[in-house]
Amino acid sequence: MQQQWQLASLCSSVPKRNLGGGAIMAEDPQRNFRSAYYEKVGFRGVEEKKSLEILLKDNPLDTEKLITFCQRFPLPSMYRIHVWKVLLGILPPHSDSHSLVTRYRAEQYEDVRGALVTMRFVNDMTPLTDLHLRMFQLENQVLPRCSELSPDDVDEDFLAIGHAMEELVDDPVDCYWLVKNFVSQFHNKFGDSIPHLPKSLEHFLSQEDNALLTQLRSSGCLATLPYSLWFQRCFAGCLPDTSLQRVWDKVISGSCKILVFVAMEILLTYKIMLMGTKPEGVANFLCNMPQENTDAIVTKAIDLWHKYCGTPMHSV
Amino acid sequence: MAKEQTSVFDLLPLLESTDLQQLQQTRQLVEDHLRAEKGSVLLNGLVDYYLESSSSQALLILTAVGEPQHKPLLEKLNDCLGRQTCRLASLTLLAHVIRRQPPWIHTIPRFPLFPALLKCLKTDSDTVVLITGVLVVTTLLPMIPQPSRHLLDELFDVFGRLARWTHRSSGSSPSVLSIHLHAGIYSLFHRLYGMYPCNFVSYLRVHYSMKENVDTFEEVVKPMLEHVRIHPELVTGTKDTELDPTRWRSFETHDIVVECAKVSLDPKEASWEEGFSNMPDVLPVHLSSRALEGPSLDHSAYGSPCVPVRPPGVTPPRLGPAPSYTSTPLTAIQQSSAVAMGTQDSGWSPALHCGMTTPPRGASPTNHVPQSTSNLSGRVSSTSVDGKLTPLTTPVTGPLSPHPPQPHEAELRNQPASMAQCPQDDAVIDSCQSSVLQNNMREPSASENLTCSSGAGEQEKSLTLPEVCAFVRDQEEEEGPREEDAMTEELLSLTDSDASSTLHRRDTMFSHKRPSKARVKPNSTEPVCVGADTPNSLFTPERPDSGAAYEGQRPPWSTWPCFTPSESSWCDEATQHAPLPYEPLFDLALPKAAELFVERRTGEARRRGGVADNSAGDEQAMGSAVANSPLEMLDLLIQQGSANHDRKLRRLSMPSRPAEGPAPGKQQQHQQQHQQQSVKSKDVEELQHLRSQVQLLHTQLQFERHKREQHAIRNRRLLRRVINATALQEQNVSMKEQLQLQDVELQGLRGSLQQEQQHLLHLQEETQTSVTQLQEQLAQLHRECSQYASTMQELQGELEEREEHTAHLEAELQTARKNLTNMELLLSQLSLKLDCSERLEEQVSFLSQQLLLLGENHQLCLHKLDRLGPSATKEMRMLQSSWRKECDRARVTSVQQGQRLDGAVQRVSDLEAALSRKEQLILQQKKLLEDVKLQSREQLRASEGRYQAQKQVTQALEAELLKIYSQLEMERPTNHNRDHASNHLTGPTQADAHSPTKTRANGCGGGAIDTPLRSERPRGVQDVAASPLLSASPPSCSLLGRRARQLSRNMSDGLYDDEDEALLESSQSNTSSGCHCGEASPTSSGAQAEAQSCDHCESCDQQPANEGTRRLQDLHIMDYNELPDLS
Repeated sequence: MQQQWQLASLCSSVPKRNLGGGAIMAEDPQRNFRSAYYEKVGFRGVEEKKSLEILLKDNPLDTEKLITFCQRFPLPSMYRIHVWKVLLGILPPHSDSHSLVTRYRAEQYEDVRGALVTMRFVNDMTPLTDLHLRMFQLENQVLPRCSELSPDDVDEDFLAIGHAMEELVDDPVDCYWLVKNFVSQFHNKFGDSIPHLPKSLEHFLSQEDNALLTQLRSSGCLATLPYSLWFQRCFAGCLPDTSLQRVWDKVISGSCKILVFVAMEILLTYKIMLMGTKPEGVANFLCNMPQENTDAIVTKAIDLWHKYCGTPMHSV
Repeated sequence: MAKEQTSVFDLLPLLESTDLQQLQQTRQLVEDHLRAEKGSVLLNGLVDYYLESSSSQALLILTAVGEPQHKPLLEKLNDCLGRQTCRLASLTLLAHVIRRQPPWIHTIPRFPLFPALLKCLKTDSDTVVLITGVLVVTTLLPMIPQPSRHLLDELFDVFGRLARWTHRSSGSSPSVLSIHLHAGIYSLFHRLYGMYPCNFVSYLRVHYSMKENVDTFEEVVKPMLEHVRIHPELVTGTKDTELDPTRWRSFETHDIVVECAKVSLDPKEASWEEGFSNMPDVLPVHLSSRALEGPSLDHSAYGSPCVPVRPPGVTPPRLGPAPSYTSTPLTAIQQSSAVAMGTQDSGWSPALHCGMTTPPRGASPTNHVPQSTSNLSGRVSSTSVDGKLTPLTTPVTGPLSPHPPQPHEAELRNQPASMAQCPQDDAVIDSCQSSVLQNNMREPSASENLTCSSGAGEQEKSLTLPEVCAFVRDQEEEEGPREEDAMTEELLSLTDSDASSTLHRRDTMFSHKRPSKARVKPNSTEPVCVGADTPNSLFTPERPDSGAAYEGQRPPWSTWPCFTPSESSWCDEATQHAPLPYEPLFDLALPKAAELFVERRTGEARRRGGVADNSAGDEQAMGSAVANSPLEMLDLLIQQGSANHDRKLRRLSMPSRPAEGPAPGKQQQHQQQHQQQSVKSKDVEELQHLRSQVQLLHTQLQFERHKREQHAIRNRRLLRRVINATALQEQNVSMKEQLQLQDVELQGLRGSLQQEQQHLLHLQEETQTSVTQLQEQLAQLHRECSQYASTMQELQGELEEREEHTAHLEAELQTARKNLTNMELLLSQLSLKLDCSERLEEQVSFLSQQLLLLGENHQLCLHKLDRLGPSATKEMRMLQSSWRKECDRARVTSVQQGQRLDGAVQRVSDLEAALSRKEQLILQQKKLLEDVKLQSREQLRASEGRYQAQKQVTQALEAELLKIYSQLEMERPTNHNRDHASNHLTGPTQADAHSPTKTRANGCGGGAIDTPLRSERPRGVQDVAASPLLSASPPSCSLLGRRARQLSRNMSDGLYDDEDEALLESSQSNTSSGCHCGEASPTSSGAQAEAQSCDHCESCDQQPANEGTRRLQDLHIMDYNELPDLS
């Protein structure tokens, strides 16, 4: 119910010409009397989808609202890529220029790819992620010489993210752009705060389960936790795609704290297993985590995140 | 041991010492020895000592012998009894021992002593011994109440022998002894009859049915039988039940004594208490008192010849002080007497007898005197009641008596003595017997008073018995001296009693009798009198009261004195009077034989008159007395003895000798000794006789004293019961009073309850009436209410109408008000108009004034005009017309101006609206512009990104190119080191010399340069030979390079077409932006055009041409063309 209200308040700020959404929702409770029961039955996102559609009909798109929405509610998967693109700046807020920008992006992609092909960095057989990596390197002027190309000179983080993104997105152009912008935005925005995330994890863990923290600390597991996997790669390769995209929703919408909570929730979930294992085993286990109930972990993590960081209010 | 024994025996004589200290020590020593002794030597010695000396101290020691020593004592006594000489002494000792009632007394029958005693009684012929033995047996019998049949038979045999002995010896033996013997048998008879009536009667029947015993029966036993009533055991019991050991189990010795006394009719022996009941414990006081009354009344009832009539008028004069006493006690007594013989009296109350409420003492004499033929019959009851009740009453009646001073005086004197000695407990019931004696003395005088008193006269007359009258006369004769004697005696006794008031009661009695005159002595020797003296002195305080009531002038405590004086007077004056005081006793004791007695007495009186000799008179008196009661006979004997003594004293006037009698301090013995001495002086034989007499008297005295003690014990118990009963009675009375009070309260409460109920009923009625009233009122009110309701409805209807009306009126009012306001408005308007009109009027007046002024002016002007003439008018007219025209023109122009103004205003507003629209539009445009800007910025950013990417790509490509170049240059020295060294060097220099800013041209050059490179790539190694040429040519001239590139492009696959186009576009845009120098642009454009045209034609014509030749041609052309270009 509260969620409903929040949605209504979120959508009420939509300009009046988009009457199809929140205004009616707020004004006419008869619009969908089932909405109160969706939450109870477990259908999440029915109402969110509607409100998101309303938001997306806006022209120009209000990115602030989209960010708020993303942070507060789970994104419907059908709109996820679109929203990501908008939030990552791949698509401009004006929907009129979308086609043009899309074309530009595609051309750029082809140019870069052509150059790479020309320079024989890549060929048709090259994996897409590698291609994307090279393209990214090229665009960031960090592409090494072809002769100087060495297997060590591979950005594993980018590759992992790109691989995950490849799973999520079908179109290679979109995939490239998303990866590129995601990585660059992540580094631009959170480059400074990423080193502090382990400390933050300890802090929240001490509040949530101090015993576990002390146990981890005493057993030395704390140092061996896969921080790079969690905080550099944003759980790419750690969580399955379905769970990962929900985490990335939050990351893309501008919060890196969610990473901490996901990590903490993982620790809490496998607490018993962790407490009886040696540091090496812990690291190994966490790197190759079981993929079963990651959805629940993520849900709990989001709840924890909301609990500690509070639900971000819509800034008008 | 033997030494000790002897020493103790030596001590024995010391017991007779006069030193009290020594005596005490000796006694103590002997007793200790006796106690410690195991054998019987000392005891035997002691007994022997006593038998020799009859020492009182030894007696005391022997009587106190304890349990283990009694056997030898009894054995010793048995031995002694066997010897003729000491038989009497041992019997005396035995009597003493038995009287002490030692705890082992019940074992006596088991010892041989008892059969020996009986045997002795059967065989002995000494009268003194017999008498002593009889008394011992009589005393012993109640202490051993369960004898065997054999023993009983022996006892009966003893009785039979003694009776026969008495009968035989009555003639032979000395009269005094016979009297004593008679008395002993008499008491034994009583004891046996009282304890074992069936056995005894059967024995008597058997024994005296024999011929030889008939005389004995007639002479001895029959008179004794006359002195007993029929025993209830004869009816209820059998011989065997009498001997039942359980029969006497709950009885004590004194109970048995009293039981025996109960069946006796002898006033001295009898105890009337408890009637014939065998139960000693049930209400003894009630029964005793009733037993005292009942029989007496009965006696009077069937003993008196006249029918007892009790006129109520008799008593008041006699009982002046307490008239109320008369009626109530009388009725009480009558009631009690009526029921007395039957079962226990329910109406009887001890209070009446105990004097709790009203002492009935005054009534009884008056009641009984008329009833009985003799005065004595009434006396018993009166005295009995008197004796019982006096202790609790107070002397009130004294002042009212005819002779008040004497009683008063006596009272006052006597009270200290009585107060000092008050063993009341003994006295209360003892008085039953003793008071009889007292009243013996008192009653005659009472009867005197009766006769003297006026009120009683009638009564006396109705009873006129000549004998009574004679008796009364006798008393009257005695009156004077008796009074005097009484006075003197009283004074003497008072002095003595005052002196010795602190002493023991009995001692005082004796001491107060010792100094008294000799006539007292015969009384005191009598044991009964000794027993009676205690109550006598006790009752003295009350005596005045009772005595004064009906004796008047006689002091009550003078009973003793008056008793003796009378006798003394008889002795002195006439012997015929001697028996007189005892007559009432006999009369009382033998009511049946009253008439006989009276007759006999008259006969005796006649005889007495005839007999002058004292002794003869004595004997006769004795003979007559024997016929009556042995106890009386004893009294008589004693009196005679005293008389004799007096006489002999007077005759001999011998000095008295110290007493020899065994009882020290006993006055009787003392006197007796005197008597004996006097006799002894005459005759030794007589002395012996007298000694035995004394002995007998002493024995008798001890016996009676023992009896008295038994009674005393009993009295104490009964008194306690009386007290308890009294307390209970008081409690009952108080309870009754409380009950009555509560009854009264209950009555009061009931009354109040009834009142309350009535009140309640009344209240209920009232409430009912009020309720009905209220209901009526309610109904009325209901009716009224309905009426009111109907009226209310009517009124409401009216009210509605009124309301409607008022509404209507209000509407009218509203309209009226509206009109009013309208009117007011109109009025205000009118007033405004009025003001306007006034102003107009003023204006009008002002204008009229102006008009006037103008008129005047006009006149003046006309005047002037007249003066001016017609020219002026013409001008005027012209002027007027011109003015008029001007005015019209101005009017028109003003209208035009107004219209214009309107139009302008209209236009301004239009323009303003347009302006706002425009502004809005501008805003929209601005927003749109913003949007568009934003959009374009975004797009620009995208394209910027693209550009950046492109740039990066280009850089990368350049870097790649440079790298390849460097590779090439590394390879070149091997092939065309020198040939193309200069060209190769100039080319770049030329390119550098053109302009570093011409980046596009360089780019073009670069593009031209790198065409061979590109073409080389697909061709691979085959071009390696031609590559020096290619590498040499491009720097030389751009035209050639362009041609070559086109050529190579044609040859190569269309891979790089797009890129070329893009390059072209960029070059074009660069040229269009106008940042190139003017020199290069026309050439490049011309070259381009040429190149395009060449491209077309070459692509059409020379496609299948040989690559090698073409390249050469191209090179040539390049070489040629290069020059004009450069030029």
